[in-house]
Amino acid sequence: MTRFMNTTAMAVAAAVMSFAAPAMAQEDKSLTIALPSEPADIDGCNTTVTGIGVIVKENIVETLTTLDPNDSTVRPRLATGWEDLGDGTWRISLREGVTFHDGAPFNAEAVAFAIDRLTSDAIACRDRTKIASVELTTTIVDDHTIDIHAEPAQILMPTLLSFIGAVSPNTPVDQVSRAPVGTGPFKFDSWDAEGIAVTRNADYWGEQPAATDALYIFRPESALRAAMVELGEADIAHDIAPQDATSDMDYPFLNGETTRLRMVLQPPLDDLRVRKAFNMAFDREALIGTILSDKAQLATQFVLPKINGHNPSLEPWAYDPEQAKALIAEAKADGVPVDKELRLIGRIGFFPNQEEMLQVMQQMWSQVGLNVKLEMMESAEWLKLVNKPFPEDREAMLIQEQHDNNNGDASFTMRFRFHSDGRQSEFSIPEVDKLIEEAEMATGDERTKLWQEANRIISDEIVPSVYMYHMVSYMRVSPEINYEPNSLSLIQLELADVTFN
Amino acid sequence: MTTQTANPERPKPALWSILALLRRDKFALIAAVFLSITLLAALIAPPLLGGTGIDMDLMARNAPPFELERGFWHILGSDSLGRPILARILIAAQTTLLIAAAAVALSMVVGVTLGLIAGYRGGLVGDVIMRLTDIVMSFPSLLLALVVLYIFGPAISNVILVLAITRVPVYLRTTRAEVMEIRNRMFVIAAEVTGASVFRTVFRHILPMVAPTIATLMTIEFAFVMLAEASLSFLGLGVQAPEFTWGVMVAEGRAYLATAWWLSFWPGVFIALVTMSLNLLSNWLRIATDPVQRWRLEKEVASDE
Amino acid sequence: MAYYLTKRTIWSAVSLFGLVVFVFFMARLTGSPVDLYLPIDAPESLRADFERIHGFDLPLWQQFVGFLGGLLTFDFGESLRQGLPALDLVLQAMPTTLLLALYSIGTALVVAIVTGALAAWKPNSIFDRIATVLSLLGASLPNFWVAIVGVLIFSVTLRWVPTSGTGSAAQWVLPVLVLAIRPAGLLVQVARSSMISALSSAYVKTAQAKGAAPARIIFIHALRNAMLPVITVAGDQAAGIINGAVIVETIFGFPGVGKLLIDSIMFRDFAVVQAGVMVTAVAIFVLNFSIDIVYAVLDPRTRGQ
Repeated sequence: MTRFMNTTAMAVAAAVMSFAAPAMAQEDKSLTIALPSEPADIDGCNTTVTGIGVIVKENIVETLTTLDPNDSTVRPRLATGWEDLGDGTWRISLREGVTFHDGAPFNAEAVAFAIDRLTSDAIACRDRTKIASVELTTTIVDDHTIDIHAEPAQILMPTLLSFIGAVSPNTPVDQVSRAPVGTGPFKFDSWDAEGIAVTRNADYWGEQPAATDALYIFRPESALRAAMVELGEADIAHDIAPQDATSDMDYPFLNGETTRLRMVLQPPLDDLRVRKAFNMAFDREALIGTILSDKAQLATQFVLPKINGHNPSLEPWAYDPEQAKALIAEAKADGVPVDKELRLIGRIGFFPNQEEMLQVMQQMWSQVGLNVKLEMMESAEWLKLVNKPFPEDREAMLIQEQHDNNNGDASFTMRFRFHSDGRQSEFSIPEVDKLIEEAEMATGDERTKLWQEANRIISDEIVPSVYMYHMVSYMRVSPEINYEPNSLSLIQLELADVTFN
Repeated sequence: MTTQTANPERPKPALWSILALLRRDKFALIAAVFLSITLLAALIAPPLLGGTGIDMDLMARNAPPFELERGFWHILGSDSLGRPILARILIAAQTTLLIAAAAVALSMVVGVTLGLIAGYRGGLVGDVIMRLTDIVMSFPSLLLALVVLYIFGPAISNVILVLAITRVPVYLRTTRAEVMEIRNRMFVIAAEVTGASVFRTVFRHILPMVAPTIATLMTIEFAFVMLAEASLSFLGLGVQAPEFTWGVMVAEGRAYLATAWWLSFWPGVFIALVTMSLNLLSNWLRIATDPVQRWRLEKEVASDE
Repeated sequence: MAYYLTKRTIWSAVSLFGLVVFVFFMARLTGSPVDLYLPIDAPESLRADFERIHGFDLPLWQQFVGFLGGLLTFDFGESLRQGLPALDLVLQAMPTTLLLALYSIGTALVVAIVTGALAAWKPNSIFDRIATVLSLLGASLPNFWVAIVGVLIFSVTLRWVPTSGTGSAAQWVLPVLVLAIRPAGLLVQVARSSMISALSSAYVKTAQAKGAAPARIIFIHALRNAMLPVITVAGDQAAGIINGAVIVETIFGFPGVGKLLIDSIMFRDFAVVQAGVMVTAVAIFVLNFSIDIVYAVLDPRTRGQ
């Protein structure tokens, strides 16, 4: 017994005494970045996944092209030029004098390997989502020139190149990597209990970044991430909640996400007047600057203003509860079951303050007599509701959704959500189908116009959803460094952009 | 354990004598009074304050406590949707206490029944019951919560179910241990020899002896279940909006701890006060029902009278 | 003794087997991981490849047979999330959790024994009353709340310790203290009441009559006898931490088993859930077993056997 007591006492004493140990010495030029959640892997073929891309993309693994965060124009990265040869084939010129972190040369062969790996069915790369239903074949022209053929032909090939991460030819082809090797300004170093560590790549082809190394750590509580920067334990706290953004270290940025409530078009939501009433009775302005950041923007469509196909002439719904009541009364007179209780489906832990947002909406609707019951669902259950095949006896309901399209073109949004064969489309309207099909094939101004027209019809005439906001995130940045977040920062945080004061 | 009514020298009804004992212990008395008030709030607050408690006012978002300009109900401040925290705490008392009480009652009934069987019958049946208990004890309660949430959806009854299942082993093991000890005592053996039915032996002779321990255990468990419910809410696996409990209020308010502490502080205080009161009562109950220690309380009553 | 050991080990193995089978099927009731892993707009071909690679396209019974086959060689399969052997992930996380449990229960024991003994020396003294109320309060607070408030006070305001992380000893202070609060509260209660009965026992009275110093009486004579219930409750609490330090591990970024399990449960990483449940169950079994041995050593009635 005494022995047991002694051991315990010693253990406690040891713990207490080592409190005095000095906190780990930090090098001047190393960064610590606090993220909300630890990714499953950090493979170079999963870079379009939020928690992975933010670490890997353009830091460790570089893509062939990149998109400008402001206007989504395509910029060269590992590809220096591209040319449409017709028939769906594009000729890509590759940057010379680039080597992977493991010493392998970056050349046409390496690109062919990366594309093969990305599209391989032995490893379910998530970036395949962005090139869904496209068959890519490569032909090596010379060491630094490669032809990529797409079936069917892809007008947006330069954009697609921004999803193709160049991973070293020595990367296993049948296993997702937790130690990616790329050509980027930072090399993967280690991944342990502390977090993920990267160090500067001395042989980088471009300019040497200011930071010597970086450590990514994972803390789910927003308040704690914010406090870490305040206390100097971290340099950047990613994605903190609006209420924690209380200092001048906090930078708001449009994070590329757009929120809406999707309506399932069954009675009474099959009636246009009822759908309009839902939109009119929702005071969108009231949430801005209170529950949401004051920088959040009202959404009129599912794509951001920077995306090709956004229709700038669409107006947000004006808050008009009287008109909403009148529409409901009118529908009721026609025998529409407007009193039916409708489920408002939220997803647990979707984004900060979302539950409060839904509660406010519920209250606003109840004030005009719309009977909505909030139901918060676990992710997997929610996912069963949003994807086809839909059950036969599907009832009218409103489903909370958040969508990000940072890829420059409305095509990454439209077919999937609004075309009758889209997996998440709630309606089948030949006119919309036709516009989407035409837009996908069109180029230049015509493409833009077709998308805009489709968006106008959907937002003004069909009204299949309650569009909410283009969302804002906050990043807390230590005063010791300079970093200006942009609209891509949620999924791509380039350490090379960080400078020190 | 002889109850008051069984004692011919004390004609007073049992309840009265218990109350008299309670009066002697100041802490236990305060606890009992506080619990009664909470119980009253649970009964009358939802119909009375239902409207006040859910009315949102974004202008009053996170309004600080101790200001009367928004009305009495905002005295403890307002939450992130401008709803009065005090009113919400009183309303939430109903759901909070209901969940805890139902979970405790359910796990107690199941646990004690199985514990009686395992302890009295023993043998293979007893072993199987005990091994099943081991399985339930090692099964992660969070996985259970997720299974229930996924399959049955977010309803209060499902949270009760999860909490009840995870707490069954506590009653089961306690009951079994007591029964096994009591079984070997003279009067039980005597009852068996004289041919009393198993049913009668268990209910007339064994159960009354186990009851005081179980009663004490239930008060402690009530407190524990309230905390467990709060933890489930924190992890997003508990009661879901628009329903709310004190646990949900604490969990939701944690997002504002750095900027508006009162959102999660007050409901936290209520959880702490109720659990503390229950613990105080359970301490008192243990002494009051223990013939060895009971004299302490009775002596004080006697000397006072 | 050998018979007892064998019987207990066999029954435990049976329970463990039942447990993993149960977990296997329960986990699969929570839906397919495919949607959770792949982007929401993932094409059908990608979904099919993912299912095939990870064996979700097989009928459930085939998956189960494969799982049982792996069990024979302690192969729990690969983590869906991380692509590493599930058992390795769990075994890597285990030491952190065990250390957390050891430090926090150790802290709680020291606090509880000293406070409980002093409180018991003069029951109902001011010290006793304060100790009782504080310990009840400690046992009544939701630990996620204590954790965040702790960070705000001790890290952000006072800047005594870092907010989170596991790198240095200072980073262990807050998590250990947060985890120790509830067990300490309970243990003070237990220590106090068992000390009171120990102090009124015959041989303590004898020691007093012989004129032994109060400190000697408390800490040598009475404590030894009062330890049994304290060890029992401490064991239960330690098992609780091994099984459920989820919240503290999540908030402070501690890579323990609790965090691993909740992440795996949320992401439907079945292999890790199975391995995690198995390993924690074994750990708790070993813990309970060691407590029984400590018991046998301490308890004078069983010491001879």
